[in-house]
Amino acid sequence: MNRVLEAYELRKYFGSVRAVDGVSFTLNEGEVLGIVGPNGAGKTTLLNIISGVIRPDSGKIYANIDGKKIDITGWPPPRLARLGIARAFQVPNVFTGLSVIDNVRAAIIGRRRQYYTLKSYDGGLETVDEEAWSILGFIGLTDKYALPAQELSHGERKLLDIALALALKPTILLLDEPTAGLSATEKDLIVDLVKRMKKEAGKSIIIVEHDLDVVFQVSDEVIVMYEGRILAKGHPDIIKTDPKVRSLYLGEEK
Amino acid sequence: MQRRIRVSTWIIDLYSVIGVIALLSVLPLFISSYYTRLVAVGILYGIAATGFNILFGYTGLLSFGHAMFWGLGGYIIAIGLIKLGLSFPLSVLLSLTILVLVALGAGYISLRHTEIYFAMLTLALSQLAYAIMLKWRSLTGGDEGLYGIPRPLGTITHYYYLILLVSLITLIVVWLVLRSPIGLAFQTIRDNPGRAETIGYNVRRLRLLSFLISGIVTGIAGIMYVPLEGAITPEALYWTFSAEIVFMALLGGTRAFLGPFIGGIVYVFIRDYAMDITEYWLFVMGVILAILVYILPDGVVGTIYARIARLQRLKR
Amino acid sequence: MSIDYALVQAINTLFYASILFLIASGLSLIYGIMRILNLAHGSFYMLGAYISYTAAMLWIGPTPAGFVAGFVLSLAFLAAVGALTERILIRPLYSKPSELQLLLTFALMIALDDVVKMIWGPEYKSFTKLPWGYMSIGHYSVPIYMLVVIASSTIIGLLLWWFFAKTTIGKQMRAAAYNPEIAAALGMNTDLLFVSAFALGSALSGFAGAMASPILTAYPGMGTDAIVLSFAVIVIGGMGSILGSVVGALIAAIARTVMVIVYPLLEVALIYIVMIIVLLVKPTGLFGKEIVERR
Repeated sequence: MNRVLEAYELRKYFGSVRAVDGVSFTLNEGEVLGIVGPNGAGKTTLLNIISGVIRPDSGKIYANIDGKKIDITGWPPPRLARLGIARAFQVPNVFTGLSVIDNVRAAIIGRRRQYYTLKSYDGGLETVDEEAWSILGFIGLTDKYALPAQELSHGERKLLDIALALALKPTILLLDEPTAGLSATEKDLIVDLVKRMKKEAGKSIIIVEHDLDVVFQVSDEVIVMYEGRILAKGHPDIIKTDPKVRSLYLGEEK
Repeated sequence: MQRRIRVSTWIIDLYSVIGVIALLSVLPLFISSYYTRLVAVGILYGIAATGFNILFGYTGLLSFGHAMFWGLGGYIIAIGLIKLGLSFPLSVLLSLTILVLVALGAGYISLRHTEIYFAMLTLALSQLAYAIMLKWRSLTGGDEGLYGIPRPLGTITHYYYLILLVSLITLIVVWLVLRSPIGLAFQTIRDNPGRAETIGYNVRRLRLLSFLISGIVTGIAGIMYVPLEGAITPEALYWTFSAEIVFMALLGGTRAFLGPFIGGIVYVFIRDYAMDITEYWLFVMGVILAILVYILPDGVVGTIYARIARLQRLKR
Repeated sequence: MSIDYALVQAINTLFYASILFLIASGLSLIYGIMRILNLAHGSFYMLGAYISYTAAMLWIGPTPAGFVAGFVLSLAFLAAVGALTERILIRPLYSKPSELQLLLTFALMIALDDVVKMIWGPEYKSFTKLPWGYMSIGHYSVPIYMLVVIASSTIIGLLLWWFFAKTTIGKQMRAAAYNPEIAAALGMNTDLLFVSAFALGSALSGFAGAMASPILTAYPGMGTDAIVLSFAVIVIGGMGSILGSVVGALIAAIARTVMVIVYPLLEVALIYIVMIIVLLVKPTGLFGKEIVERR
């Protein structure tokens, strides 16, 4: 199986805090890798390193996309996006003044670098629109297409954020706490969406998540982080019964 | 599929432009030449504010120095016409060429920053331009400015139609740009520059492009204004005029395409009304503008649009 | 150039810097705490100038008592005007986009120019006499009044420094100036904070006008020149920093003096060139910290 992403011995210290302390993992093509852990375990720092928001102090990240192995350590997000690695954010990071459909159009146009033309963005670019409507349908926001993003609910904005990432046609999708702050029904929507992105769209996905149930439902492999290190790694069923993990979570969740 | 037959708001904007220009084109038949001149000034203020709003309303950058483009456009055409003795078209060309260079230079410098620092840089640059126009007496006439600038086409009414034509073309071009993917890119930068960069936009280059178009459009208004008045003074570049441009744009509404254009016309009429009723017209105007800030925060056109949108929602 | 001449120019420069410092520190304080660029701030300076003229020339006469009364009156009056402006005019706009606050202060600025014309007329108001006499430096004579202004401004600068560095409320205000969210986190009464910052800032500007007008005269429109110069000063020094306002004012004053002597054509332009260079090299100004925008 092709390993689309490989990370070796990633380290990031903030002063004396070892946020990420020697983490290695691989992401297989077409699989979902879940990263869990209590607050302050270093999950978000790890995702920030992978998505190019911060540079690791040491360690390497390689991507295997289109049959080439490339060292992508420290690449900034736009460059990663062009290569095929896109991220959705914990706090929805969308274009608040634009309608839902225009948000998606903007991402498609940006990816295609099709912006120096005098055709209208609002219906004048047929292939862009075709793609935009299909993404909205996939995500389930078709009904809301005309609403400005600022009028969406929190959950809908998170969906739109994922739609923006999808519009970049990534090989690898990084999801940062996709269900944080959502209701139970909305969580189910996200779980379903992640499964479909894997099965129907063939994405390779890393999901950082607080909610263990969500991770166990969608992941092929789970990494449990604690104090910057990997505490356990393996199939969800194995992780569920791992005594170290149980004590970590039973201890935390009382 | 029902969703695809929805009328684009951009089409409504185009119809509004055509409607307003059509209205303005029959206006001189019914009003005195005093009011024709007044409307002409309003149209040009409106174009200046439209230019400003490309940068502010669509790209999210508050320029506090747009008087620079207005004033430089005006000075250079005046210099071309009376100092260099060039024809009107050549003077316009000269003015446009220099405006492009100035806009690129000023944009390159001021776009090193955003938000308040960008506003301060544009303010400083325009005050610098003001100082130069004030002190370069041999070319600009110093604080007395330049007088006796000839008006092409003779009468006010004829020149009014030239202004209207230029404004129509300018508005259509701006409309074309803003409804193209470039305009969408501008808006993504306004809302969220970081994400815009991530999804593939070259934010710095697009901001410079926006600055350039914005400056040229405001400059075109300044170019057309000077032959209308026959004179220009350094006040045209002073910072208070930059603030007035901001005011016109917000008065009309920065989220509506035609808002700033209407704002410019309304602004001129408020000023004329105030001047008419009292010698203390600045006071009256200050009061009116302050009241408008409270009762019409979305601007005249913005408020109308919001009303229409609400009505449509009620119908559904 | 003789020593005497240099000394006279130095006093002129310090006088000018003193005035600029007072206006700019008030503007900087208000911007720092409230993130509002008060365009009417220069108009408050103008009002101070006219009040001092009224006290010293119309009511009491150009005696030391008349001048001192003018200073105190403008300080008190502008504090009240500032407080009322914040309470009545600006407060309803806090929830609105920040451009609207800017526009409101612009409307206030143009209205105040005419208020001054209504009350005092459009002509320049000159003071016929300065208090405290003159001293001679070589064959130049310099008004003692200028030295008094320089001294007062220095004392006020030191008081401000003491207030912000040593008192609890001052320290909290300074913290709030760099990051408005801190104010709430510290449990400060932001209503009181805003109104006092606006009153204090406006009072400083009014006081500056009162002290400036005996030398620089009072006229409608003096505020629009003053405000844009104070922008330059606080940008150069660093927005929200008192020390920055001192240094910015000194730089602006020195630049002006040097250009008047060396190359008058660039007198108006130089300060903006300095402003542009500072913004490009160190956008937070010489003594400013990173400004956290209010969201």
